[in-house]
Amino acid sequence: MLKVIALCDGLGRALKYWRRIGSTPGIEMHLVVANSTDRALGRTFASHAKYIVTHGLSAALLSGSLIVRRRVRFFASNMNGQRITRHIASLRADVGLHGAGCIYKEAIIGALRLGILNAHIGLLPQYRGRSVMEWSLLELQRTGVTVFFIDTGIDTGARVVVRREIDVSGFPCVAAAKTFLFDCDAVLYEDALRILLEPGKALEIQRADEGRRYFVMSQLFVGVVERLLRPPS
Amino acid sequence: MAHSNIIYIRDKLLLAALETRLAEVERDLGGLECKEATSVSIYPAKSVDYEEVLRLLMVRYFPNVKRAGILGSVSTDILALLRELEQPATGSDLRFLDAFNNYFEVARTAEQEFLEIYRRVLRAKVDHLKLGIRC
Repeated sequence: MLKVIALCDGLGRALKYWRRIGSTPGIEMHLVVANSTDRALGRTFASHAKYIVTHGLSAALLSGSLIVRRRVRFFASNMNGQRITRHIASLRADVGLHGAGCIYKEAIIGALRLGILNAHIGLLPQYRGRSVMEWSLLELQRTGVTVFFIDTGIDTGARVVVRREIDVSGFPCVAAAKTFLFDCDAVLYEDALRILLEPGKALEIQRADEGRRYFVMSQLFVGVVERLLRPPS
Repeated sequence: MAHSNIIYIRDKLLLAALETRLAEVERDLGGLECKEATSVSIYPAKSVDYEEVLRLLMVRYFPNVKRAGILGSVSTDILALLRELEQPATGSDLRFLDAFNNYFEVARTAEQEFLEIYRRVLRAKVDHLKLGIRC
């Protein structure tokens, strides 16, 4: 049995993970919804309420059921807040799923027995950092998603659980391709958790000095990538 | 599509983009002629950690420049770092050239020295690409 906590900065993403993974045999799932942007408390809860209103009865019923079953906790602080770290430690969970726009401090990573999984939209160890899907396309390399246990560095965590090549050449634009890769996160987290449930399964180890670190791509080069996605017939 | 064809298409697209950018930079410079690189030394070149220079430019300085829209009070530091990247920026690793692209795009009033370095880099890269495409 694996106890898993999805660490999210929005209710929508938390429910998405729950729907995909919540009933997987061998997994006990919990959700933590933090306020990663440090918005005012009222605005944070207004955004949760808005999500429920716009996603109808099923979202409302699922949220209510998770609250009653104590499977979801909402926090006013960002993900590295002390209350969240204490809550995670008290759950004695095995794995966290990264679903928030933040960089984790060691305290929160250390509060999970195995660590926090991140679905990175590039193939590690070659493509670390920012805009990696765009850089992969510009360098005419394969695109995909890697699920690995994070450390405090930038995509340098040693233990890789899933590396999946995903072709995005059929997409009409960079934004659509990127959204598609980001949306693969729940499916690939599920695959990663199934692998972790296999007894004695050895994980692939990546070295921090392999590959390159990439940075945000300029508009000039993004324009080139846009054209590469739809080359002249 | 054969891989060599894809490389050809990519290089043609890159060339077109860089030529357009070069024209913009030359317009901003208002016809001032290109200065030669000034970092000529009689001593052997010191070894530069290009990865670290790139990291400093894109992690330490770039977010502030993007917010402010100008190179600002740290322009001397930024220009010194960009000068270090002038040589690798004309090579095959496009991350170094893209540091220049990024700074040009966010700094609303780029300094003349920056534009001169950027123009040299763009001219060299355009020449390399033209040669590659011809071959």
